[in-house]
Amino acid sequence: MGRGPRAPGNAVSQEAIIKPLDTSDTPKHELTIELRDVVREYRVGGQSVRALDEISLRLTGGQFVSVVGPSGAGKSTLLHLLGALDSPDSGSISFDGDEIGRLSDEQQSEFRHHRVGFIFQFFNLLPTLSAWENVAVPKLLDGVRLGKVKPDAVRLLDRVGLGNRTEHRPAELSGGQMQRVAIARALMMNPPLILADEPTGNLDSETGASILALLAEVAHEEGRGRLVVMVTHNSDAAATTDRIITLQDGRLGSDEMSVVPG
Amino acid sequence: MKSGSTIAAAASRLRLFSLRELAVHRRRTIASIAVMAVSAMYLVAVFGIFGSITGSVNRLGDGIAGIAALEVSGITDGGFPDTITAEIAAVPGVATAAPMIRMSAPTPTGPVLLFGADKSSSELGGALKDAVSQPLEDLSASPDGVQIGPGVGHKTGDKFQLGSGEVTVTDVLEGKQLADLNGGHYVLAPLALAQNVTGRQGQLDSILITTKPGADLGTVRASVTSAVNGRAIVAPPSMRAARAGDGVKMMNYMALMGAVVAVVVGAFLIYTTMTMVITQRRPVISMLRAIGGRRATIVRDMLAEAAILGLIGGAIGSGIGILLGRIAIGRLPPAITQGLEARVEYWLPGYAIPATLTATVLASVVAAAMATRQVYKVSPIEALAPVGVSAADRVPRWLRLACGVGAVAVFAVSALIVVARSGTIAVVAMSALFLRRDRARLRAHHAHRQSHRRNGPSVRIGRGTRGGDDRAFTAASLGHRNDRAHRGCHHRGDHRYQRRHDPVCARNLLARRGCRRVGERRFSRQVSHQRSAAGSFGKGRRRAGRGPRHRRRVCIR
Repeated sequence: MGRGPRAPGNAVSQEAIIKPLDTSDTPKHELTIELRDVVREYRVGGQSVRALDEISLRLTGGQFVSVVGPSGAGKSTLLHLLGALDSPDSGSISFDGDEIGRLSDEQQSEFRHHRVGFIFQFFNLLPTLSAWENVAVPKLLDGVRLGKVKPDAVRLLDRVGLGNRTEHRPAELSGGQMQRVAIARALMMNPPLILADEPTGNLDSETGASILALLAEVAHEEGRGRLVVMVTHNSDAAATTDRIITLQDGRLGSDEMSVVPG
Repeated sequence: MKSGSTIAAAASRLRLFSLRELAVHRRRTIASIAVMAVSAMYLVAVFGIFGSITGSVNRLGDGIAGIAALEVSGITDGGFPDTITAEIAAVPGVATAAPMIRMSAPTPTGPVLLFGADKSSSELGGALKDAVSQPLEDLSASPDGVQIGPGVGHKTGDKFQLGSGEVTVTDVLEGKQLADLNGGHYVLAPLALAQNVTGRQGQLDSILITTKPGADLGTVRASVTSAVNGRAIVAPPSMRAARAGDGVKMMNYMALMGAVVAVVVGAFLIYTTMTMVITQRRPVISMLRAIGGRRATIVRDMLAEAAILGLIGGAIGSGIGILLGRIAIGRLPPAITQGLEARVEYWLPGYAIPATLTATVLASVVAAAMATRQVYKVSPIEALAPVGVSAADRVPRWLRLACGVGAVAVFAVSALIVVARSGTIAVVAMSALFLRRDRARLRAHHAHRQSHRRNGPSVRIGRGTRGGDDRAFTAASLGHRNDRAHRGCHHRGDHRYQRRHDPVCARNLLARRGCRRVGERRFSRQVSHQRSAAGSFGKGRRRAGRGPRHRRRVCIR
């Protein structure tokens, strides 16, 4: 399945993470994201709070990475920066060699549109659209007409196991099915990076496990070199990922490679 | 090809994002369309009524004048001496000088437009050309014989009272041109007979003049004016219609102003509606932004939606406006019609519908454009974070202070007026209103204090956030909007809609109800967890968020 290297339980220092990981068994043209000394500060009540404090990370494609940590540790801020939803105050974020930390709003939109797929905790599906229409939304924003997108949308739904639910609206789907639709939507533009914000936070454990399995499948898809980054509070969910990055007070706490059961 | 596919994609987005939303929110859609329909109805009715008046007069004038370049008309309604005709005919450059009586004459069935003309009128080439040239020769056998339009309602051989004399119908004129002239409501009589029955022997109302080929119109006009020598007015034939139009111009302008006010009020309502729409669709907008939608694309789609509302409203209103215009034309007051020689027939100017549709679409789009500025304040982060992180959610302190000072000032002035005028009951009522508002503010403030004490100053950090106090206060004021459990709900505040369309939200709502009843633990923990996910920096906060006090707070809410 082209999974990344396993290094069970080996907590690595922040300095070590900067070094390239051993990616010998992953596809050649894989994504590489590199964060160098990234700082993001916010003003809270007249005080400056560092949400991310000189974080340096290297993420490579073909992996399913989880970011964990207590509330306020900077997980969401990291997700925002990786998805070009926000810009760092200092440091650099390199996406396949391109600096994305200083993009304009238009460039950020363009970047997100073509290179990032988002999966939200509450699915964020449009209630008035059917499943396949929800999946087609990114292409519609790209200036493609609906009729032309339908085959792709149906194919993606089929791939996430909802081939028989294409015409159903979100209200007619279960939570797990809605999250699968959201995953299909995230894959619509075939982005190299998938960012998931608590994708199982609103699902029961069984459904959550199936969603995690699907995300792992997306990450490990042969020849894609796709990177899936998931922010979660759930340590069980994190344990199913290839790599667990723990943030603590805006700093890198630990970076572990884990063994995925099965 | 590229632009074609872009338009097709825009149409797809319009169908999916806008039209379905409009279909779901029917009452709001109907209200928006209705307000634009009222504006359009008013505009089309005004265009129709005043277009009919000026149009009827113009068509009558053009139908009679034909190719005439000049008209001599009386300074007063009394007309001018018919001896002028010969003098004008002698003016160099004048080809034809056709004398005419044209006035409203009474009949037993109501006034009818009477034309008195001689054979020279056939030279004008107007609608009466054929009627004037042939049958008049036959009229010599019948001294009281007249021809009538098909709308008068008499048959050949009928006798009826016309002015001071009795006339006999020798012919009912047929043909489209003659039937259209004044709606067929006219009597054509020999000039002498017309002068006799109207008691205007030796007088004329009009002399229509054609010029010889090559003659300079300005020179001829000057010569004719000189020949008339102040006894009549020399002007182009259109002058008569212009004078008729002047009579109703003031009313026309006033009615148009009213219609414009209706359009402006309609635009204001569209602005309010679109503001509401954007607030309601904010989660969708932020999601679209997060997945790469450009602001310009989102704004364009919303403007297209507004244009559709304006277009539909304009089209419906135009139809109703035509109907109302027709009804109004049949009920015009004598104050308007008595000064007109023409019978007013409903006629909608060609520009009326396009101008109305343009006005409604433009008003709708401009109003929506003002509202869609808010789209630029919606951050894509909101798709992942609760409402409250965006700059759009912040209420500046100065604005809150200004609102407070303004409210007190308005209250003081109102109280002063009411006390000075009538009674204290109104003051009590107003006080009650303000007290109620203050209690609501106190409740919000209390919630804020509770939140601050339990969760600390911070809720969640994101781009554009302010101090914890401000944010918490705003969050408390916003009520459940700040509840992260509601982030997935696209229609905050509309719980029925949420239950119908968003099972997650429905579940949360149901769970919340259960929580209120029995303090269900599962839901409390779930929401606590979500709140802690949206919580502040620091380790201790998470525990506080999951603690029993926090659960109790959720249950109380």
